[in-house]
Amino acid sequence: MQNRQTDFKTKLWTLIKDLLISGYTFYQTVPTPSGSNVGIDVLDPLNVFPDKNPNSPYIKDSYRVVVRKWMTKSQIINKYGREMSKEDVKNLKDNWKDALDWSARYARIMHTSGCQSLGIIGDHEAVVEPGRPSDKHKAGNPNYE
Amino acid sequence: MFEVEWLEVDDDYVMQLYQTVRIGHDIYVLRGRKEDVSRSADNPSYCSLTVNGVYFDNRNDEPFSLVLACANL
Repeated sequence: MQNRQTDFKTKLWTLIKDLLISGYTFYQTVPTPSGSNVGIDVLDPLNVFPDKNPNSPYIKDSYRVVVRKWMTKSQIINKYGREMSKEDVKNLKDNWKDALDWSARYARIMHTSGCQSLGIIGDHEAVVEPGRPSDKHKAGNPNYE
Repeated sequence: MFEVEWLEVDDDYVMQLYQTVRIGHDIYVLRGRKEDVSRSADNPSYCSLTVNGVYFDNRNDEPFSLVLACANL
């Protein structure tokens, strides 16, 4: 039960933590890629929208649920490509190229001296410097661009 | 992207699970009725969502955070 792929301990820990902090905990049973076993995906409570059944505290007794997922273009094509039409795959590849091709990267909110990128993407990324609280021009927290 | 699943009862009174995926704004993967749904031998006409979990609500139907309730202790 506890191996690198299944990792029940970490998933259970995440589920308990979600329940204690937010009052909600969600998981989804999914078939493994080989189709020979069952896996468990822990879902973020912020991204699950169940239609609650007032007679049960369990989500499985609800009648519908929406799960929002954040995936890159490659992940979407890898997971749903076989079920998508060729037009949709082309649409995804053509129109989503610039938005999701790169991994998320750190950039500063406030950087008064302009871009000083040393990275391979050039102007699209900024240098992340630790900064001190007294450095007013570096007071912004790093965020995902 | 959004994965949606819901339960419907067919004309033969058997509950079925349906799934649909929306990617972005205008790409849909219409999976329809899910064939390999887990059912119990005791009540084979009933099935449930693949998403499960539990919620602790208070009497006002609001989520109850035990950590937040203990924050001032």
